[in-house]
Amino acid sequence: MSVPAALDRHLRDLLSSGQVRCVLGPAAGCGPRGTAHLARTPEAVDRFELSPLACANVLVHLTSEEARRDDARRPVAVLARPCETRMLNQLLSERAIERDELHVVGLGGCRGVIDSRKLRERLPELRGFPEVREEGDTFVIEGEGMEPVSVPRNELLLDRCSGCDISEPLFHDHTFPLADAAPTSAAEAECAPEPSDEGWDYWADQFERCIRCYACRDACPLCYCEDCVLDRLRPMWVPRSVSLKNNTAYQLIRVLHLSGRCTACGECEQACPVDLPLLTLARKMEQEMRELYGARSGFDPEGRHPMSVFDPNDPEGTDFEEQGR
Amino acid sequence: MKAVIAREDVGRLLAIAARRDELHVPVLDGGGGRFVPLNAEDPVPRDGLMLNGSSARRPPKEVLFAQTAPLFAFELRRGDFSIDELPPEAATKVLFGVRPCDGRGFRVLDSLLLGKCGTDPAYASARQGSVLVGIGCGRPGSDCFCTSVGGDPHGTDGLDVLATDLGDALHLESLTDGGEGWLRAIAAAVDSPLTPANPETDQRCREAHEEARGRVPRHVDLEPLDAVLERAFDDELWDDLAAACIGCGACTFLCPTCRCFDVQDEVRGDRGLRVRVWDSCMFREYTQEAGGHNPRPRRGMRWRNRFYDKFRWGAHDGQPACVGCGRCITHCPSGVDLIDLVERVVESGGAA
Amino acid sequence: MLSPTDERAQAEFEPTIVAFLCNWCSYAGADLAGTQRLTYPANVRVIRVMCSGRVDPGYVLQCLLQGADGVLVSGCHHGDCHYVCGNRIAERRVTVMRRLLEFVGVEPGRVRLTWVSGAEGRRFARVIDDVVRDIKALGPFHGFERRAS
Ligand code: SF4
Ligand code: SF4
Ligand code: SF4
Ligand code: SF4
Ligand code: SF4
Ligand code: FES
Repeated sequence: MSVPAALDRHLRDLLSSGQVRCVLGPAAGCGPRGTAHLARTPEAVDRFELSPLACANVLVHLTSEEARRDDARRPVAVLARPCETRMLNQLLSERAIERDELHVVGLGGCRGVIDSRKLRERLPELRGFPEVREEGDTFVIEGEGMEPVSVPRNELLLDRCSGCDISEPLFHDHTFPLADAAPTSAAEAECAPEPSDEGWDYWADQFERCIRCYACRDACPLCYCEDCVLDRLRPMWVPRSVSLKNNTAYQLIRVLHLSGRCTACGECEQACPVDLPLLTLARKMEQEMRELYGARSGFDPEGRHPMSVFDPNDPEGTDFEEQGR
Repeated sequence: MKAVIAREDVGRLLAIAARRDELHVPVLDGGGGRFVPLNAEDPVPRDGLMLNGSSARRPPKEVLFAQTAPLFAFELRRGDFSIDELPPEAATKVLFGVRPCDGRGFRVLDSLLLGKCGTDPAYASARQGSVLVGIGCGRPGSDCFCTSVGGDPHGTDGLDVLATDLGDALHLESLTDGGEGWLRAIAAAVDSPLTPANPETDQRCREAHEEARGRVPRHVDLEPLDAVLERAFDDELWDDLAAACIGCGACTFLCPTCRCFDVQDEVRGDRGLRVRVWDSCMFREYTQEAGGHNPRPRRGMRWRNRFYDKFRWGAHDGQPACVGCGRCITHCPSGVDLIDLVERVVESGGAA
Repeated sequence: MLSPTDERAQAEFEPTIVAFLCNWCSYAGADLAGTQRLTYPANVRVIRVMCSGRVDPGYVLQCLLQGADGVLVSGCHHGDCHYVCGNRIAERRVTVMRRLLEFVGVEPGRVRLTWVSGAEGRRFARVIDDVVRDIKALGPFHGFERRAS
């Protein structure tokens, strides 16, 4: 059993009372990457894991084609870290899921999770899913047959966590504190990297590497269209041929379809098998939406998509002379 | 033929090889590495060769079985329809630094693309005369399990030449006629950096092989699998096994033996190109029929297809179509682990 | 610095520009420019849409992918859109798209947005003059291919 006793009891009660049909949350993987777990029986609650390494893309399973077809998945209880409640808000605002289908178990006092790819790089000899303890500003990693290793937090934190300014769930039905964690200090929150302006040559290098596996789209909790334009053959928005040009079109369309909705959760970047800096794009667009329209996705469950509304005070997008530079 | 080359001379060897043929080598590319063509003037790639350490994240499959292969161009001209065949590439391709698992992977590709059901012309012409120079794995990657599927970190199956890393030198041994010819030609070059092998290097080579075998980190027992797969097709377990899968194609696109493709016409105005592009059985559209029906509507069913392909349908010469490279495990965004799945399938025993 | 040959190439460069004009104002404005016999450069290929709000950023991207050097979206003035606020939505979309293009290193000036009413034939001609002049200054678009080094 890897979740605190009180939480374990709560989840089991939810399932055995029939209040929810299943519980969705993170579990340990076979390797250092966490995995999503769907518990349909009280016994299956055992597999949940709240270690900072068990950060799986859980929410994508709420909106996947599979979940939409499976009535038995709703109502569903979700174990959600604070940033995940933000994503849930966004999904609610889009009516991708209804509030009464959800039971949100918020995990409070989040100090951030570990990027398994950074951990692998740091400790290549690591096998299996290690134990992780938090001690002050370090993570102590205890792998199979290895001496415990201390690694400074900032070397392992997931990119989305550095710069995260919410440490408590935005809303919840029940909340549980993550084991004696102190909330993120403001100083840590401020170190969100400014997306830098790299120019076309840099981006060409990136887009050229893409193998068009569609993992970035499939991993995105907000990419739930049944009929995605990126799959369309008629009209063929993006030809299937893999080339710099087509890959760029693919990525720009994906990013535009998410602008104003994307919560910069970084699941796209985590999923990319060839390490495209997709979170950089996501963050850039998030920042633009904020700057231009004061729009912040995922903070208002009733909010409208900023690309479908306007404000009389919108900054002039039409200074025609200015645009020509 | 056996030969030895000092590590610092590898660049010179590559320069000679690149003068002769179209040479492809694994390099770091900011995305875990892949094979790129190397030209003779610029023998050492700027981002670094991936000859020690682990395999390139993208397998060499794509050099011979291109992700995008144009088949022919067509055009509508004043009511006339014309087709231009695209002549297949003529150059002999040499792949230097192929991992043994990936070398075996080409056998699996051959069995379909050059097999009984017909020949894929683009693959056949790229494969024609190709020389696969393997490099053994002194340090297998974190999810390698080649020894469980009939391979070895210094396995020779599918390769034409095998290089063994002796630290300060590489030991090269030809395994096929093609490999012999290539190695002799390199040795015959005026500026050849090759020196003959000797009993001492042979001995070190054997030791390196032995040692590497013990370093393969993961293992799985496939023995009981076949009998279970016989029964497990209609089992309910597949949906459960695939529960965490998000249905992206990362595992199949990184797999050295996945070989599904689609054929598309890309038309602009009056001209078009018919292309062969990789496809993936993990995609919903893969089996989507025009009328709307999808015979594999659920992820579990798609996973089952991939699993049966790797361990049953795609198997040939008594070997599974999975060569144990571990890429699909390491890079699955959802933490789905093939070895774990094999074990769970075996454990289930299959439906009665 | 442009070399003398580059300069010559640029002087001779005739850009291809796609203009999405809304049916009710900008298209009428273009029409008026024609009936008034105003002259403006012939680099523009006009696509009539019912409203500037109909222009999906994907259309703009397709133009750039398929050989356009620049794209113009033009609708009714604020408050005049025949679908109430389509132009304001277009304004947001084009603005966001320009920011994204700029971020990946494509000159945002290749995508322009303006308003031309049905009575503004002269303004339409001037807009086209300006767009063509500015795109000429930017030079041919690489179409999301590698720039020759
Ligand atoms: S960061 Fe990526 S995965 Fe997350 S919402 Fe944005 S586009 Fe989707
Ligand atoms: S996940 Fe990466 S490689 Fe796959 S389509 Fe997206 S950007 Fe391309
Ligand atoms: S197993 Fe992993 S890599 Fe393969 S399709 Fe599923 S989520 Fe993607
Ligand atoms: S199935 Fe996985 S481990 Fe087996 S060959 Fe393919 S990528 Fe490698
Ligand atoms: S699976 Fe075996 S052959 Fe392949 S990279 Fe790993 S150790 Fe080498
Ligand atoms: S009708 Fe002209 S912009 Fe909407």
